[in-house]
Amino acid sequence: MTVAPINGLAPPLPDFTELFDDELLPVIRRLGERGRGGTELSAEEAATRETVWHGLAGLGALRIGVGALAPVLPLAELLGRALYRSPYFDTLLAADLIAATMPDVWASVSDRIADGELTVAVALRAEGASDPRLPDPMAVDGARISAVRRFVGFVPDVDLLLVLGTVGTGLRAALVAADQPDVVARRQDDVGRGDLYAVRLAGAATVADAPVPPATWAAALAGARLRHAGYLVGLCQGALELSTGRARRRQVFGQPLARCQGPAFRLAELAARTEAVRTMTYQSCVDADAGADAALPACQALLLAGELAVACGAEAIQLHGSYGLTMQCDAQRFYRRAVVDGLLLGTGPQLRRQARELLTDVERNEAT
Amino acid sequence: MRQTVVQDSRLTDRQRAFRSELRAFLRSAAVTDAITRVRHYPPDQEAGLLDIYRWLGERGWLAPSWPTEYGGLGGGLAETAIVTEEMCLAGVPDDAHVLSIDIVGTFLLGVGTPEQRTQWLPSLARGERIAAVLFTEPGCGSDLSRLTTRAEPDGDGWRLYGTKVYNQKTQFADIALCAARTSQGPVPFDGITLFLLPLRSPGVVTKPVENITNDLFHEVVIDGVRLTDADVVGTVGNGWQALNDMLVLERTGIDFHAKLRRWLDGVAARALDDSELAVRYVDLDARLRAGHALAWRVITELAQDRPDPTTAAMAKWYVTELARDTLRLCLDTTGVAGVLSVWDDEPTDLGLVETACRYAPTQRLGSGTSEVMLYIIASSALELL
Repeated sequence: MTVAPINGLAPPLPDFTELFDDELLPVIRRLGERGRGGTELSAEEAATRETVWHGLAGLGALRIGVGALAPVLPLAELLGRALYRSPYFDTLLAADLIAATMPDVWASVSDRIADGELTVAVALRAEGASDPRLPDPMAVDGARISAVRRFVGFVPDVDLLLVLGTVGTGLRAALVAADQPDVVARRQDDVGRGDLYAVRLAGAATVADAPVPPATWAAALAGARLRHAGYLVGLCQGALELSTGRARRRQVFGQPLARCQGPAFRLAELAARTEAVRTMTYQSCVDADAGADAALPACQALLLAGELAVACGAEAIQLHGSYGLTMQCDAQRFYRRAVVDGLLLGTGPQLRRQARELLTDVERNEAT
Repeated sequence: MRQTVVQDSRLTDRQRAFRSELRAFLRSAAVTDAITRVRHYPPDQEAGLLDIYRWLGERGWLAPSWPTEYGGLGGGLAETAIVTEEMCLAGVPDDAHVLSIDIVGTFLLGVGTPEQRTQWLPSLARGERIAAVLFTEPGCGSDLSRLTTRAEPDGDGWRLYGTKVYNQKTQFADIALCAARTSQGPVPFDGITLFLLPLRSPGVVTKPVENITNDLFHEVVIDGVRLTDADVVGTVGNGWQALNDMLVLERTGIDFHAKLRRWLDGVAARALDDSELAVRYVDLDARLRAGHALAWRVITELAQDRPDPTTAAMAKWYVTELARDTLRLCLDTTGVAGVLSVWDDEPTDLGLVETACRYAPTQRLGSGTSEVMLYIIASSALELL
């Protein structure tokens, strides 16, 4: 399966493609995956992960994503195909928020973020079912905050946490150093065996905090969802490539599995759905970069991409048979990661609920 | 009724202005009255040469991508897609337009002779004539390599023999683009030639075949009609290639999308007001927008002379697969009232949903079936099968 560049947008920079070439993909997909029950990363794994991160940052991965969506998407797809875990997307979301709400801080950190020297994790939900649109409460006492946050990525690896929370009737963002005694993190053992943490902030000292206007958070969340949709589209592409390769190699009843119309058509359907969501995501990013409101397309792109990613992962397992369930096979890895990654910026019902509200607003506006 | 605004950020300022002007025209009282009249046609009357086509033709809007000398605006494929999309969104029957302009006219413009273009294109662009398509036969539908209609050499010309079925608007058409076999060989794709067949010729017998839509099928028996080399479209024996090149234009999905969007818009307010229906509406709206983005990507690539039959197949498959779910939502929203036709005394929305019931199955069949699209994707893009 070949993935054509989307019309009108630059293909990934050659260096990024090199970093995620076909030989390295299987290694990167396993990078940082914990054993059952949550064993720690080996020093070698941690070092390799660090190397890949610096490689990415050195090639300008963060610089292209600060303040723009469309240029990130080719890279987001590559990261999805590679199932690469990193604070990349969180750092970009944090950059959007810091730039919009803390201009003084932004002036001092923007270059370090763009160079990949400063990484940030975004902490917004206290419970798994919390809606990212409405971050959970936090307490602010002068220059200290207290809150519980769960499902926060890469806490031990990042420099800063950007904690979002409601204070009274408003939304605030607080920037805190991750490495301080008043920030206690515990790794959560999830089905993706990844890097999600429960964090307790007990009067943690803030670097800065600021109110976040609802429209600012809505725009930042929409951008994050579109980037994440691009990542999930890449995950779909990776799972499909795995499946088509298997179908060509595997012999059944005297012929390659690929010659059987049933599975071939199922893969064709998934490929068409992937290309549709991919194109919608790209177009929405181009529109958003040009100033369009991305809230609705972001909900829709993430909704479709999240469901499709799980479908592509499940189909990969199905086409690999029982081998697809083994740890040697990446099919189960695509599936498990899709299950987790498809939920992080909104569940299906949450995205549908918001989309319904936005569509109803359109309906009312047209009626008046 | 809701009219969902179609995003058109890929368009140039000029193309956006063209869409706005066209949309305003299609929403004018004269046009909406004409559309309503068509929707009230009695059961035995079918949309043919519509006034709306002539009004569009007067402005050069019916075939905007054609050169001005042939009655167009000298625009590109984007303008053509805009016209198709806006006509469908407005509820203007577009079958005669698609056949005459998007298929036959585009073939003539692409591979026709200067004489053929001069003779036919201006009147088609003015909306004064209709052209039909005679490809499908009793023994071959999606797989045209199996066609058996033959053109036998006859002096300096040809005589055509065969039977064509499931063609539409033939009763209104003066000519038809007809695929016939001019030679037999081991490769079934070779030896197919396209002809312009005058439908009023002796030797052409047309019989209507009623079907569930408002548009009759026809069986056309061609019995020894004599044609000359001047009636050949393109080169002799090269029809298969021309067909494949041109069919990409038919498979953008843009017209199918607009029809589905119109159905969905018809129930938007009520569906969004109901918590269970709203969930399905939101899903369909998202999938339709994704299909729309993909359809416009195909058009953009075609306009840049970078046609990709696989992406076109994906767009056509993706959009038309939404027809069943769209119809189901429409029916669940209207309830039994939705099945009343425009010919009932109390139709809902002039029978919009009842009409959708009858046209929904055509989406997965027309312009290449869903199975053909999946075959193209599986074989070409995924290198399976």
